[in-house]
Amino acid sequence: MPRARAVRAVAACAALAAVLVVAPAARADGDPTYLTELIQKARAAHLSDDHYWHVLMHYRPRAWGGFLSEVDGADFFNAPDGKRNPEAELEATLAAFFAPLPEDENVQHPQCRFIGRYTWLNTQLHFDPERLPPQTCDRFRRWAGAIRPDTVVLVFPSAYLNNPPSMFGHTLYRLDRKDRPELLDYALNYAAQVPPDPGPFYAAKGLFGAYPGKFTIVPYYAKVQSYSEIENRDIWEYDLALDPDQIDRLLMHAWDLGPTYFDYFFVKENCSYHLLSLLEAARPDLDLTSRFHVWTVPTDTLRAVTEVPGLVTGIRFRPSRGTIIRAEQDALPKPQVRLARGLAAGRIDPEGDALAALPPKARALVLDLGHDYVLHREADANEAEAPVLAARAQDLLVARSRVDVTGEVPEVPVPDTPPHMGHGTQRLSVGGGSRDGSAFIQVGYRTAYHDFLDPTPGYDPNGQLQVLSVEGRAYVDEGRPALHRVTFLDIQSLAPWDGFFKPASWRVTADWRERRTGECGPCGAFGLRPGAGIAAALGHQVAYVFTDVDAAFGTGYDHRYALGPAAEAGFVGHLGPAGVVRAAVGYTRYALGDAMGERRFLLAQRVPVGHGAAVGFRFEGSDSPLVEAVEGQVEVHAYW
Amino acid sequence: MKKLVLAAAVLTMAALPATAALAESTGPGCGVGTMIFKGQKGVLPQILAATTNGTLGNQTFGMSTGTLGCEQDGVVMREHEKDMYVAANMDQIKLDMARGGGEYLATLASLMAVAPEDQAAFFTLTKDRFAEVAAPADAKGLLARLDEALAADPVLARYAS
Repeated sequence: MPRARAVRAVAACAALAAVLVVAPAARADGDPTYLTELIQKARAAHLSDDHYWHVLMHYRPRAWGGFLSEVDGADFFNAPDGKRNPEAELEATLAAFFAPLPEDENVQHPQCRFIGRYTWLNTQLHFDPERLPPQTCDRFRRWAGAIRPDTVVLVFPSAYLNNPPSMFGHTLYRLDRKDRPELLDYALNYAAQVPPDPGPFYAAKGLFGAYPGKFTIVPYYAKVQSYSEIENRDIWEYDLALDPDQIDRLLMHAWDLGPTYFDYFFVKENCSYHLLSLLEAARPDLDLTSRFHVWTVPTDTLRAVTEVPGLVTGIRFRPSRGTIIRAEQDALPKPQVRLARGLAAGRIDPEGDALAALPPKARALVLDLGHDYVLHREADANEAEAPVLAARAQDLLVARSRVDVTGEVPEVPVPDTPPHMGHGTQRLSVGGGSRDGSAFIQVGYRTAYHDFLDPTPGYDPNGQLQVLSVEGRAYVDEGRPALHRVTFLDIQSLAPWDGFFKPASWRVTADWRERRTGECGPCGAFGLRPGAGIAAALGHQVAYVFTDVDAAFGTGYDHRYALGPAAEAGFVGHLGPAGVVRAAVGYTRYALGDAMGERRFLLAQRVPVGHGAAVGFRFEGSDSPLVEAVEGQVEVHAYW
Repeated sequence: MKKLVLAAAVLTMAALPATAALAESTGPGCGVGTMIFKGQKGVLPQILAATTNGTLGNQTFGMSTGTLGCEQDGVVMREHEKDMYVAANMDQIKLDMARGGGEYLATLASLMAVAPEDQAAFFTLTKDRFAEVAAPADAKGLLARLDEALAADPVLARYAS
């Protein structure tokens, strides 16, 4: 096989060489009168208005007329005003194609540097090779020849709450070659280039585009290592149906973008957005990005891709190391799991009697699990522990190699619902209820993304992430609607302990809540509540305890603020078709500012109805002097 | 919160050896060899970092300073493919060797041009001789031991380099 391909590649090079031989006298400068002709032809054909030119240049219409390219690197443009002038850029690009050969072999000729543009303009204007000598673009050809994908896979490492840019998940492409093991395929990734020590304003900078976003190419194994082995994120892979011409266009456009950058905006112009725009270069008939106006959630881009008929031909699941360990645990009886933990802790000798007593198959599984435990621990180990753990892992493997059982990883159950099948990330809620006897109706809208009570399929059942949610409420006896609650950010990461994994749970909420007190009438308070806790799982139910710091600011408080420790114990139960229930009791002791205590309780359930809707109830109460009330309501939610 | 702190600490720790090795990787070759002796943990973050910096030569898709010379425009050079792969995936390769098969070991076999009909023998060899082949903690050492084991095997000797 490799030989056949090599021959073909040589043939292609020979063809290009022949072109050069035909026009040896013409310096790359070409024929200046030809440039004028080409420009006239381009104008006559309105090429600078062509949709594909705008795709290649990432031009977007501006609200007040005209265009602006999303590309922020000046090196991407040949015309001084190329960022906002499609026509000037097209003509300057044509002119650049006539440039003399660069003296330095490391500098690319514009025909090669912008090979995506060159190729498209050539199909439109049919360049005369005598008057505009084509360049061989060896560097591009070497690169494309090495990657040479047969198919393109859209890869989605699932959401990871512990890394701000990955909270909603991430997407990248894998460029698959049939004859190459998957791990050696190349990953085409778009990410913010964040310096190693990003400082405290990292997140804010990311929101406002302070970091350059760039496309990079790395072997896929590097990505699997970081997602699967280090961050324990399961990976979903969506095979895309692209034909060879479309794949060529994708590669050429990626090459055009490689050296330049975009300002990286975490919210909209993020990895998923630019990955979609690359797909538009491959298939100009698709319009995938224009639906994303304000923000781009990676799972929504999965939905955009799966909604195109025939584009996704298969979906695969690559479990993370953590998921594999859990599957190994589930495959073993309890005493053997304890044995594996003993091995991992160094309490049990891998060559000793306890293991020798087991039948070979069980011994193999126990050693596998023990080793995976050690490896998992090694990832978090400090410099003193690391060598000890490495030696222990080695001992376990040596013992494992002596067991005459060839074993693969145990069968890991694939989740029923791939991430694109989960509920939509926007939510509209309508509800009605009673607060201490006063009836009210309530309307809420949330921009993104998921809370514990939302339908779980397709989401991490232990992660809650809500961004910008607004609720308005009108009491029947008052008649006029008022803002009830604004949630700016609400993250809750429950990480259940299971005897081996002992991770910390954490959460943070920033919101504004209506306070109804006798003194100030309806008034509001801003709240900020970070906290840490522990969680434990019993089957599909998770119980948790959090300790938080509760800070509240508002006119309703003496000294306008209250600050103190808080604690909450709660429970999230997954009941399958009956949805999710959550129960919690909490207490806050405000010690500073308006010193007081507040007790709270919550009981809620939400049941999915078909695809994209849910109904539920909430029953909650508080004895804070500011909000002393008990209320209950029923709600209907729609997701899209 | 602890998880966050941990994650940051792991990243920093993992990155340290590589950074330290960076200054020394100026000799011939692509730097992976130097880094491997600094402990395999240092190599991967280099690749993972995947940062392209405009001042680093003129790569279209550079990976990072540490891999400069191992790759061109993000594509790993053929002569460095095996070393880099083994250095980055030591733990998984060893696990597959001890178990007698798996994706990571199959990928190594393919990098060593082991024919599909010899793959099973390759798996058996690495399992049988695991204790000596997998003893080194670095990729270069492991590959050297693997070569010795292959050379001594009547069927697989032709895959020894």
